Amino acid sequence: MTESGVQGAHPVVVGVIEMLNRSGQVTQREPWNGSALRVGRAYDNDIVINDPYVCPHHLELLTESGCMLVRDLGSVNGTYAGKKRNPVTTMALQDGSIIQLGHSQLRFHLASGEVAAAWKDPTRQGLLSWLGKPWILLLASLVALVALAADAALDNPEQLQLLTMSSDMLYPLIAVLIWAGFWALLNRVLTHQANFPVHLAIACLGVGVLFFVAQLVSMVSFALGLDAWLPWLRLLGRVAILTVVIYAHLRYATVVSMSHQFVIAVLASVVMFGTPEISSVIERNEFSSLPYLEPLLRPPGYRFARGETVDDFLEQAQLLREKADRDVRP
Amino acid sequence: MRFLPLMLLFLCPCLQAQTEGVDTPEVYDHWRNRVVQIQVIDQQAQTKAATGSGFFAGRPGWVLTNYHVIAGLANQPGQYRARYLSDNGQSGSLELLSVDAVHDLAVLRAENLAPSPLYLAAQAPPRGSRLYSMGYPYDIGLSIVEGTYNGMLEKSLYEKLHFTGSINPGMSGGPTLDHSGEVVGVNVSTAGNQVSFLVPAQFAAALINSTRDQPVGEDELNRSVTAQLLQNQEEISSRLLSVDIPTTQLSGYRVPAALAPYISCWGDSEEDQPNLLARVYYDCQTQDDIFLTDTLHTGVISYQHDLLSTSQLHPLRFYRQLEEQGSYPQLYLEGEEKTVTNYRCHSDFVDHSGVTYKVSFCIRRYREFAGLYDSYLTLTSLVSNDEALQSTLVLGGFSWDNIKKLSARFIQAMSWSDPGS
Repeated sequence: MTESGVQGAHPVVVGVIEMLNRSGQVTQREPWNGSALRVGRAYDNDIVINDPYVCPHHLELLTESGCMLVRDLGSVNGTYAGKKRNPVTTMALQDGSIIQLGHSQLRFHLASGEVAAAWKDPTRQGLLSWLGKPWILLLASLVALVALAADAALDNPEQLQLLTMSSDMLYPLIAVLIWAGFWALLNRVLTHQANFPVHLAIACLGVGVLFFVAQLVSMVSFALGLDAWLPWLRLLGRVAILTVVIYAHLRYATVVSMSHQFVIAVLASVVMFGTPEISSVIERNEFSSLPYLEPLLRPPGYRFARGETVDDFLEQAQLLREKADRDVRP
Repeated sequence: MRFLPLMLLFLCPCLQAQTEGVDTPEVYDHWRNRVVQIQVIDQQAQTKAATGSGFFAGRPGWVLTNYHVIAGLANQPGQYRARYLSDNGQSGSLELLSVDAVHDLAVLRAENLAPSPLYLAAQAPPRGSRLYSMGYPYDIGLSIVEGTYNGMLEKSLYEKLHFTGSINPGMSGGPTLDHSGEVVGVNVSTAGNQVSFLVPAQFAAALINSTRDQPVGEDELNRSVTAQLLQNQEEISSRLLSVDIPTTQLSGYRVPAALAPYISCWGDSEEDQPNLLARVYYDCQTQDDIFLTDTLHTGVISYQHDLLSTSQLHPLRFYRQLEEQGSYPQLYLEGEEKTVTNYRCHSDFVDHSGVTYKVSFCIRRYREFAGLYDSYLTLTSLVSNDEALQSTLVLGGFSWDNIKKLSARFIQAMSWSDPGS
């Protein structure tokens, strides 16, 4: 690097040159004081790039009449500006300018350029930071155990025994641990921190909320006689809860923007619950010699909707006849 | 001549050869040439897909058999054809002239074979009479089976004679004769252990009387069978709807009992250990049905009451068990995609006589027989936290109007009163 542009003993940094890999991540950052700076594959360059498509002396950065420029030094493969790959011989540099040479990229930032505000660290502040507290894990585990125990008890018409209950709960618990382990592994790979207790707390809370919301939705559907809506209400509830769960996991495990995390969470939960639901709808529409029955029953005290008269009920069933008649038509 | 007044001719015993006092070898020798094997041939495989028996009756060359023997020919004439094979090895093609699907009968016309027809008995013989059933069991040749006449079945929706003798597969459509060689009935089914059933000769005579001497087309056959099924279900429904539904008591509930003599009811109760449930079953159904295809049997009425109670399960757990049980159809009607549509279902609360029921109602339509449906009605009472009644009614092969009327009557016949009050 030349000495021009140096003020006193400490040269003034006018900008930063960032070297980017193919995925756009910064691999090297060099401060630039505005004096001529040569880039290429040869070792006598100010910035050496190990790229076989870059010439030994490919381009130079310089300041002319107060203007910061990039100039191609007659390279074989050329120098290009921006992501649109417009070939340039000389180009004025602005904050954020991208220069492509060979299969490599450089990005220029003014030293005075603005940077985005700091992302909030969910592990340090906000609601999600509570997930890191030990008592939350304890509470979440308790919620999950109660939910799984209640689910096992509801399905079991026998006298409840600890041993049988435990065996009924074993597989769901293993699934929760595997789920939390997967997120911890992802977390470790992406941010060098596993955060297993946090992911376990999220998984446990998810299991608990899924169960209790499912019960609530069924209860309300029964009470108001909304049987026909139940599958859709149930699906909606599941997708919403799973979206929140995956979003919470992503907040800890990944370093991408909140909006991206949210979109990923929605897509993942729609795929996870939507795909089986679509398969189920397809299956229901396939021929079966048995009626597809999914009676929604709760104790009498939970009912609020009024009942139809026998004649009105059967009159409404007229629609079934019309549908069945339509089914015969080719 | 469209309709011949043949009834009297067929039923006239004075023209019948009198062979009283004959033994079985004589019966066999005398009538063997009137009984043929009927083979339904797959046109592609060029070999038999089904076999049964038949006998010459009515006009010369006319062969009477069961509808179920030639159902393949009736339903898929493009795929199958029929031929006869006589005891002396003579064979030829058969053409379908008419069917009576309700009584499981069909009339065919044989090519190049016309022995004198058998006579159809005008009345049933005395109970205990010796009868002789002929046919081709298991494709092993003509056989004769001795047995006794045990009267008309009392608990049958479709009139049948009880023959105590071994009718085996392949003998369907063959004649069962009395000592004089008159056809008392047409072999149709067996319950095993020498309990066999015959279609009374009067229905065979009625079918022959209404048969024209020309092959029936596919559309005409479909119209005819559909009309028969519609008329049959109308008669059954009218009879059921014209009388009060008898009921029986299950705990605090009054529920429909045997609606008619031809509906047989069975019941039992059990403590469902290790489950904390007690059950009382009450199942009723018609004893027989109408064969349309291998997987479509129609003209049936089945219902079931299942009273469940518990003294230990929490109400939420108890009703979860009811939900689980209600998810699996308790009564079953066969069917396949080419014969019936999928079930369409609707469910809601229904209030009747001070009791609220959660009712699910499903119907499906017959594809080939317009106007006929199967229905599935199931209801759960919502009265108590520890006791509930789950009842199911299945109607197979009824019109929409009759399904509505019968289903309404079924629910309206139910009531509840607090056993403690």
